[in-house]
Amino acid sequence: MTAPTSTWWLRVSDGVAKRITPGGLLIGRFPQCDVVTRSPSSSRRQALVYLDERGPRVAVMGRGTVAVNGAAVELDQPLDDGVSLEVGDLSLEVVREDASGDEDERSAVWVLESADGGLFSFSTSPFRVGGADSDDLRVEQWPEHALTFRSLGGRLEVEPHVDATIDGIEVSSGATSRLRRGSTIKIDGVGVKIVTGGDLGTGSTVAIEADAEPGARAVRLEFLPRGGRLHVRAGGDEQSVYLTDRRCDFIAVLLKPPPPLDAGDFIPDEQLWNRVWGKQPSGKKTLHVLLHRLRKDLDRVGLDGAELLERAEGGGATRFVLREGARVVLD
Amino acid sequence: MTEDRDDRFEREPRVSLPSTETWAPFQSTLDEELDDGEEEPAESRYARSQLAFHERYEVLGTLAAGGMSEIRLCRDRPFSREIAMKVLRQGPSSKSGRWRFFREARVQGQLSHPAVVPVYDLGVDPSGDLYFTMKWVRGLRLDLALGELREGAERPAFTERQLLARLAQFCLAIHYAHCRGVVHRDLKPSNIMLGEFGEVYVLDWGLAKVLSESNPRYEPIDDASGAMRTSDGSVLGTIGYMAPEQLQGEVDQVTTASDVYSIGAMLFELLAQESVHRGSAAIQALSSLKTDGASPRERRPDRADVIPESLDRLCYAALRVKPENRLDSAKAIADAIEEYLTGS
Repeated sequence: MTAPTSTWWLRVSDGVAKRITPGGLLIGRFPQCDVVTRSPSSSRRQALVYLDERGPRVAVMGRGTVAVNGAAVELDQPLDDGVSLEVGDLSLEVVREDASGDEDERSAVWVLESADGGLFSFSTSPFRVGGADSDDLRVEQWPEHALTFRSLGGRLEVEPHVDATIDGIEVSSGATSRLRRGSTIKIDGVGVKIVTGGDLGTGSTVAIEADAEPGARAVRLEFLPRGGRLHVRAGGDEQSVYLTDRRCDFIAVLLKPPPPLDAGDFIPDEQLWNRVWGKQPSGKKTLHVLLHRLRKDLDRVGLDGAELLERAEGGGATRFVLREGARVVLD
Repeated sequence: MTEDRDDRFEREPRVSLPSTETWAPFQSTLDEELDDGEEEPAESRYARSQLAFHERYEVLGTLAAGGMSEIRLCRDRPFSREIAMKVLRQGPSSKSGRWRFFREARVQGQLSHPAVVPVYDLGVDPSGDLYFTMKWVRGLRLDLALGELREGAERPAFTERQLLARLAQFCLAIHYAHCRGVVHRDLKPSNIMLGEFGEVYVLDWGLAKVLSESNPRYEPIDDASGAMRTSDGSVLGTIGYMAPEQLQGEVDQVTTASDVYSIGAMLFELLAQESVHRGSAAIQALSSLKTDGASPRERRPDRADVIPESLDRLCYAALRVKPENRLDSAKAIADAIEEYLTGS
């Protein structure tokens, strides 16, 4: 049973509605805005209505009135179903539409093969494999809770809690890695292989494309008065997500690092700290938390956050993974 | 690839994939670049060169809708006939999605067999969506006919024997496609339509793979970047019917034997009156990988006396896990069914 999914709309008074997406709807006088106002008192880019993991929010981008149910918005605040949003002389309504329950529901299914050829399937996430009775799948030779598998939007990730190898490459405890059909994870020489998996469903045709070459083919970071919108084209169509100030700065450094570094290179943590925080933070945790949230932002729009934002082996640097010849634009 | 053919019959050429030049008029440039030029899209130019869409077609309604495409019922005005129009909805479709759609029309259009729904036209509608038109086939889908038998309907539309005869016809149609270098890859009861007057139609060629003559395991898609080739690791088909090599994403292992597996799964369902792989998707996936041959008689000992031994053996041979161990000809299944039905 999955929670009902909702679609959020921004209804303009004349009955026109625009879907609220993670990339957001930009409202202002600028002709390229998603909702354009002609009010001279409005800014060129006055507000952004976007969707985060909890629901829609409005972020103030410029001068002029931005109010929710008559109360002025300071910087950024959540929006509830039915509220009235005033941006300059525009009056808009936020509307939630719940998905009907009879839509085709698919759940990701994964099949593992143990070293002795045994096959096991799982569709729950997280799924723990290890030597303890409390593990979802027991591998006697392994320590308890050795691996945690997580299924995210048809993709599979693994977090080893001990040192392991994935397809022969060493992976440190605690590092999350993306798995592909055919990947083998070994601990102390004993392995499990991912035989198949994905959103298989039952009865209906599936067409799960193989994992393409990792990285983005095109990236555009559109700076806004506060934060920015990241547009990424990886395997399929372009996906967009709004990034708040620091997350936007972080991506900006990865895409336009100080010379001689280039977009796609590993950017040392010191550079990131200096440019994003302006000083050395007290510990590594601050950077890891930001990176974790950024990956979640990308995951939310169907991109592979863990794959696109890669930490160097052993830590110390991060890069935005780009394909050869990828187009990078910052504007 | 199977070459179980009689040389006395004149042969049709193999199915060919579209060239880049053929594809060009249909390739939208709109979402290919981040910038948006002012130039008129290729589709519009193509559309204007055609008989105006609305002069030719009147959309009467929607017959079916899926995630990426929908099938509309239309009137083809010049011929005064009702036809089906498959439309690729522009919204979620990517370049590879449009390419697949174009390929589907091309493959289906080149297969000229009474069991393959004939394609009439391919184009771009006024909203810029790719479409192709085809004969509107009416009848009863095999999954529904099997459901009637399973539920013990008093007057089923088809008896078990009649369905066996239709399945043999269907196998010959698949054998025809195989001989023309095409593997369907998504054979299942809901993709087979049975007509009231003896017609059998194989539907939905959207996942079809075209085998090359020189190397039947290589799919020669004309795409310089290689971006549209089905790459290893892709899982295409329907769980419960797709062959183990399809389930494991072993694309280069998918051959005519993969379709034979799917036919075996349908024959099993007809004989045992239950699916060969049952349960949740997870259980069906495991069952598909673990069950090396399946016997309807063993599954349904209560029906053993009505399940012919020869067909039981046929099922087993068609449902082997490894393609090299599997019966590799759809015609062999058709012949065995025919032999059973005629008692020869």
